Amino acid sequence: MIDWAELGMSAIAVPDARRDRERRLAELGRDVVGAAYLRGDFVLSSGQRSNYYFDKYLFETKPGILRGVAHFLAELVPPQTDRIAGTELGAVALATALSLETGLPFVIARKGTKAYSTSRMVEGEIYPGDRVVVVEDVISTGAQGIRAADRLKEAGATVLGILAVIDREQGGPEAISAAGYTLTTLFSRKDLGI
Amino acid sequence: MTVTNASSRTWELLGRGGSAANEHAAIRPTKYNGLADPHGAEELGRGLAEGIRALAPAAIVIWEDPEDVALGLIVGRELSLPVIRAYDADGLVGHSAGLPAAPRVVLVADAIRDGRVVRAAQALAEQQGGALIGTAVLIETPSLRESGAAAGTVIALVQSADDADGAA
Repeated sequence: MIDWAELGMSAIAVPDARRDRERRLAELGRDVVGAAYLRGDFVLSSGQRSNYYFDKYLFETKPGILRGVAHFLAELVPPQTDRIAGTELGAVALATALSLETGLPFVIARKGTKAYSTSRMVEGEIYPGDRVVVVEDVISTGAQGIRAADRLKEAGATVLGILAVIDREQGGPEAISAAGYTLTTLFSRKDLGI
Repeated sequence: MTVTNASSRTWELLGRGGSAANEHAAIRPTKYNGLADPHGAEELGRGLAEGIRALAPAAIVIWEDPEDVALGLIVGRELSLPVIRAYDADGLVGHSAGLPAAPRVVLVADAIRDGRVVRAAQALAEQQGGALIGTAVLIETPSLRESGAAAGTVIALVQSADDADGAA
């Protein structure tokens, strides 16, 4: 979130378009929380227990929210990007929506391991040298995003970065940075008031 | 790669399942596949079961892979225990039916290549009011050793200095 006072600008000086963007992004955040924020006792695949969970399918399956998410994610896609990548299954809807929003083709990164090396680990067309952006739904430890990025690198692609909708603030950005990738998210847990 | 404690018979069986080469005493970067050698899997599974027996678990937990289902099934049959398949359900840990209440469970795998599998099995058992009391593997890897107390009592047929590549 931009701190206008820190920039020496008053709210009145904020261009209408930018202010409108901030308002719409905040609205989208509230919609995501309303649709997908669940309370309970959850065991995350990272091995952590949590008293809340973002069920990405609950916001990804609502066209109004999915369209809004894709719109704002598209702003974060570097102009030199050749291809979008989404991890099965949770990020496929996001990758599809972002592909439609940007006009860029996309690939699906499989979650399976090299143990299944006879099957393709990246579905769709990808070529050595392709500049790819990985799109993720919810970042916890960042392990899944890192695995997807590694897989794309093994396929010869250059990973420009990882885009995600929500950062749960559980060490994901740090792990992704340590792995040599950049992460940009639409919302942090704090942004969403959780 | 450093390996120890391996009898020639163990190496032969691991090799038949594709995860080790007996003649070089080296672990290949592939997952052990008992489906490719059912008789060998039977023998290795019985070996794991004998190691687990003294822990007196209430259930066996395996993580995701069909190959580990085969290994877990042999162990479960030998010990007359249910085998629970746990898996990554797109961010959450899911599990198949039959997990007892307050379960004392043992995680069975060919090898642990990612410590989060141990942590997930532990968290799953604890969520149900139980505990992960042991981890039984064919090949003990650094990822398992680094899991420390979370893994409970470790039962392993051989040790490796490196994490063999592959699933779980």
